[in-house]
Amino acid sequence: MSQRFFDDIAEGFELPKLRKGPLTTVHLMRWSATMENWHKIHYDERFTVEHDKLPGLLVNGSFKQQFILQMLKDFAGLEGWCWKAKFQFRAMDVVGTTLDVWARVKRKIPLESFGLVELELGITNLEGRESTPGMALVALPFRDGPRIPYPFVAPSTDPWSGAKE
Amino acid sequence: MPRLNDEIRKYIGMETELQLTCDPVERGAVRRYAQAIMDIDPIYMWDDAVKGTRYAKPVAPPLFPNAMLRLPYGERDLVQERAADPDFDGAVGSSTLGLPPLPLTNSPLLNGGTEVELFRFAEHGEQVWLKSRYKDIYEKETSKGWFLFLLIETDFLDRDGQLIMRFRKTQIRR
Repeated sequence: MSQRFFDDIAEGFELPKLRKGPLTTVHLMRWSATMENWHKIHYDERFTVEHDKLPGLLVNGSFKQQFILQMLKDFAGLEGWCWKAKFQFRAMDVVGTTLDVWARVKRKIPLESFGLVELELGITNLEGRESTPGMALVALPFRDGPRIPYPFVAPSTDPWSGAKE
Repeated sequence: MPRLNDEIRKYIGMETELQLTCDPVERGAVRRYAQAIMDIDPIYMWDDAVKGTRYAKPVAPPLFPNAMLRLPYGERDLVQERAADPDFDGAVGSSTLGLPPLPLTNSPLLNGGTEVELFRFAEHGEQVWLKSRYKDIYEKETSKGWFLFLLIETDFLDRDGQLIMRFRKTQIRR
């Protein structure tokens, strides 16, 4: 995959959507086993519906957030860095759903030796319902600039400093 | 009904000791993780894929350290202890990242959100330490009733004490 540079990204640019699903009980079981997360609301339908009064087996928030980070990591490329991300799980997604991760460049913030790209993002189901609205800050190199330090060194200017959650 | 009482407020600010995760970043665990999230990125597995990059070794997916707090071998096993309890929801220590759970019974748990700051990927073979704290606990009344919000912050550190990532999650308790 070719490296994206800060110079080449315009505000309003939409990243290609990342689709995951349909997410079945097999996917949820595999994720729960990977995490050693034995929370029944992801695999025990009777407990989930009758005891916890939920609409059905839930797609883990911890699972959905992996998809967001995958999109951001791939957008940053090998020479960029996904510095920050934040999102809320505002709606439940039940087993069987197909999810689309989306992101759009909201703001470009040039710094001395690289640029920060602020993205708005989220996860929608096939009906277009948003479940996971959020934001991210991704560092991209300038086309003729130095390499971004790795491990990443947080810039002295944090665009989210003091920002209300 | 509101439940944020003095007993629960005592947890605000409570933090764990620095804990070493029970396993290092294992290649097999990274493979299973990458397959589970369906992100088959070569940098997660192959030496050739990181040759010439800034990564000295194959790396783990960004949030992998969050999956490293597992039940240490020989420690108290709540899954077995509470297996016959019809109210046991299966959520065990990893959901509070090593912090003592709040004294709540029959209080379903939901994941409210995440805020993460990343500094590097964890590398194959390295050990990871973590330290968690209850950053805040507050309560809100919604159209569906009263909910407790637990803000848990965890620092994941390498052997030199340098941050790999800082992870904040919001747990919702009904």
